[in-house]
Amino acid sequence: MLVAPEVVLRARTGEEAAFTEIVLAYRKRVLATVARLILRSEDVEDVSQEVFTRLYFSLDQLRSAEGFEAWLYRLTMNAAYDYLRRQKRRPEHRMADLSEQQVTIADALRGSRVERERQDAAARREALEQALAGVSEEDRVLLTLKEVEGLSLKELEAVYHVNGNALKVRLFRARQRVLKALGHPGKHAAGGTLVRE
Amino acid sequence: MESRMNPDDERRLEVFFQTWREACPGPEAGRNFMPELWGRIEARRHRAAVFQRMAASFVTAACAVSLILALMLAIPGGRAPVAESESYAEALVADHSSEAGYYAEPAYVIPASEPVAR
Repeated sequence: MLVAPEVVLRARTGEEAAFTEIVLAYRKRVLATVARLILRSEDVEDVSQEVFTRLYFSLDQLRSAEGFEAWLYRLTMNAAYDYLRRQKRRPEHRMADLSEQQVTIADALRGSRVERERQDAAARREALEQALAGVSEEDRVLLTLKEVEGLSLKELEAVYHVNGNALKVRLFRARQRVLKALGHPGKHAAGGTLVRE
Repeated sequence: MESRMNPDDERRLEVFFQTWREACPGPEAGRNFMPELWGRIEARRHRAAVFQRMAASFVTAACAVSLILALMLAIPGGRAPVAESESYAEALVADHSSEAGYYAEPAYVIPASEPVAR
């Protein structure tokens, strides 16, 4: 944990200084997780603030300080789900959808190297988002936490309240679905195999 | 238990996840992160307080109305008089209208659709 357990317990009683300490300690991690979950840099701070707001109003439900990080991941997950579902309902505008004239104007606005790098990073995120468009929010969140954030199976068990074997099955299926979404449905072994060790 | 995939697929997935990690480096929080966060918390607290006050007012009003209705029903004489059942014949007798010498015949109901003979 990034803060001492008594800080969590003090924040649970409503102490604002303790809550601020928690936010400052976990802010970077939450921002990074949210950035990888939603892939929209302009909305990362907004969603992260929503995570901490929900944390503030739900801290009293936390049974012990030991479960704090799993609780925070859970809140992050739920805030990301809500955001991704809202995004699905809203029509999006991508470079690929712009007319030739609009693309020409956008290209003309590209200036310095810094701006070009920023736009290259945005293009990579957009390509990633297009690849993940065929993946459900549940798979996306699970794979972000396991493969991108690097959470262990034990940590995921605490977040999902599901045993390790069930998580392994979910992960396996999620990986298969991502492969299919990437456009290679036949290359992997048909149905995959679950091998007992 | 372990899931096994084609090694090519495993490699493709690993490349994909690596790209994912690199495409989204952890951003730094803006200068206004904390003030905006406290602003959100205060706004939500304010909304919750307004809702609680409205709910409490509603409950108080409902209790007051129930109490008033209960008192109205409980107070004697406050009840509406119960109509006494009385047959038409008894009402005529009480009225002594037959002593006035009016022509009387048994009353019957004329349907509204039929014309009245004059």
